[in-house]
Amino acid sequence: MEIRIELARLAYAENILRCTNEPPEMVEDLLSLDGELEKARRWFAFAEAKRRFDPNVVRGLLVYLFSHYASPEFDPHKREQLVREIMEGRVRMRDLTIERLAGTRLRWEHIFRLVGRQFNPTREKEKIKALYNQLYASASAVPRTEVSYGR
Amino acid sequence: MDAKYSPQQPHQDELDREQLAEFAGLFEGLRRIEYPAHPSEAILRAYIANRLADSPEAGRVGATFRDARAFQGFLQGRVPYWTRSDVAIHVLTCTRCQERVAYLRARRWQLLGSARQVSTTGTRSWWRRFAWGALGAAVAAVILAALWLWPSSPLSPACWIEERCWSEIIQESPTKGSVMVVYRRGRF
Repeated sequence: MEIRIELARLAYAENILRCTNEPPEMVEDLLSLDGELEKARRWFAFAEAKRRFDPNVVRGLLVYLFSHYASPEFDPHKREQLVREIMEGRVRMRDLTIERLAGTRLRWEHIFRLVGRQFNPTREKEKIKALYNQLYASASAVPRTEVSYGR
Repeated sequence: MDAKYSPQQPHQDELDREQLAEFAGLFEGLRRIEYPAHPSEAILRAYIANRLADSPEAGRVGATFRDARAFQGFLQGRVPYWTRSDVAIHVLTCTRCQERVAYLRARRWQLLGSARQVSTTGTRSWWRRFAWGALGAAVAAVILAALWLWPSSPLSPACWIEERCWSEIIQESPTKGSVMVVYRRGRF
């Protein structure tokens, strides 16, 4: 059951990438059935960031995350195909899935190409972390000032 | 918070040091699953070709989270219809389907590559035909123009209008009396 909820959270993250996601408040209960509310909320921070900031930049961060962390194995052939499609402009973010990106280890230049413009990934990442703290740190049962994203 | 960042874009090396490692924990629970059922080849082909929708109905919201019933189906691995997300997550965690998708994707890539080659050749021959047609039309137009212009522009006119270039001679005819005959000089 736990693994299925984990997969449901990833499916939700993929929906955020493709802009087919339900609002976080609609799925919060479903995605925390295994008690991992904080994990669900991290994805909700991305969904909320998409509403508040430049949505394509947030989607670009998700593309990077999926391509680097959705699979522990690097797939050079898959990467070569995807990079060629990106550089030739034959793929858009709404065409991508977590499976299509897993193991491709894209570079930021590929992400910028998909997004259509350059941005500072560190700054955007910090904005999402700050948004998470703003949205959920006060709502948490244990009071804290900052959320650790470390493993 | 933003003050510590330069307004200029960082260099590529600097960029590639940013790996969003803080979020890696979100994927920790991901592992292979033994599924009792798998998507058919037709579904996988549609998925690869981006023809599989997130929802079988109109609307943009994915069907997986639309209601508790659909979500329960997802959790139990019994989906009434395969959405794009369902297939993506299934393939991500199913070794067998990963191999099938890799094979189908390679085949599709190969077919698209050869189709693109044929299309390029077709375009090239079309251009060649067009070029030959245009050249032929141009040659025909030049010939017609030359034929049309030739009589009206002689290379060297016989005389100028200011210069009298004819002579008039009165001849006596036994039947018609005096007849004036005009002779033109030079080229006639």
